[in-house]
Amino acid sequence: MQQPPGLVSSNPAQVCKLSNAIYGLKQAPRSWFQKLSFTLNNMGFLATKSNHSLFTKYTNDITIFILKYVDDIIIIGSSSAAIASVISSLNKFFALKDLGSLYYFLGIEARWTSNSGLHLSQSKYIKELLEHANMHKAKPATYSNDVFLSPYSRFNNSL
Amino acid sequence: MHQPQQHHWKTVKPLLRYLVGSITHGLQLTPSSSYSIKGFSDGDWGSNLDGRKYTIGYYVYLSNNIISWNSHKQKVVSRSNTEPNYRSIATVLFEIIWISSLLLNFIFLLLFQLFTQII
Repeated sequence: MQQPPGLVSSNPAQVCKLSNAIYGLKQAPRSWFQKLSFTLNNMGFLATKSNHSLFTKYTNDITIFILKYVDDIIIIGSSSAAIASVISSLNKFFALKDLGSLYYFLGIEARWTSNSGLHLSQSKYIKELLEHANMHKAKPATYSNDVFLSPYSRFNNSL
Repeated sequence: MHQPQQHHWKTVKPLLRYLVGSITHGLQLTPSSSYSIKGFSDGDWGSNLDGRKYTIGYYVYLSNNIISWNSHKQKVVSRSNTEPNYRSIATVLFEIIWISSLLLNFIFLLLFQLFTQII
């Protein structure tokens, strides 16, 4: 690629003037994904064929899964030392913030229960939604059929 | 929605009140060593008499944990109740095929990476 006519730059390596922020470009999601998956591949992670956002690494005694949603990442592993080392090596390539143990992802709260299970809920999301609609002090309603009545049956009922 | 009006609010309000009552509800996942996959599906056509478009829904369990669910009103018009029910089975089957391919993937990757380490 060469400098287009009209571009005045003494440095021949500069070819185009970037007038958009990288973030706003159409190609941004793709190039972010390529950069992340390239880095993870170098660290020994393989993307699963059925889900390209899921990267896995197996060694003799340790299994690590990395699930990404754009720039939110969950790391699951059979050893917390191995997880910490993955985080620190990722930190060499990207400025990242370790939010600790999983508690909130994509609007879903995750809470560990005593039987080493996981409880998923959307309480925080619902609370914010209700406050936004000024309905947080409303009386609760149980499931009721007329919520889902079609216009047709409304029409029939009024006859 | 550009211009929500009174009747829109009337429809949404019971939904919000339903959320008030179910705010603490959630899904409980528990560890399990079983890999049995079970899918359930249903199709509903009868409750959309004016549009004749059907809704299909499904959910999938891995062992005793629910891992996938969906309910979606379709864009196409049906002329028979067989179609929604048949389509709902096909849709849950697609999901099950994907989930089992994901699980198989884990096994292949495990074997592949262990094998390359031995070499």
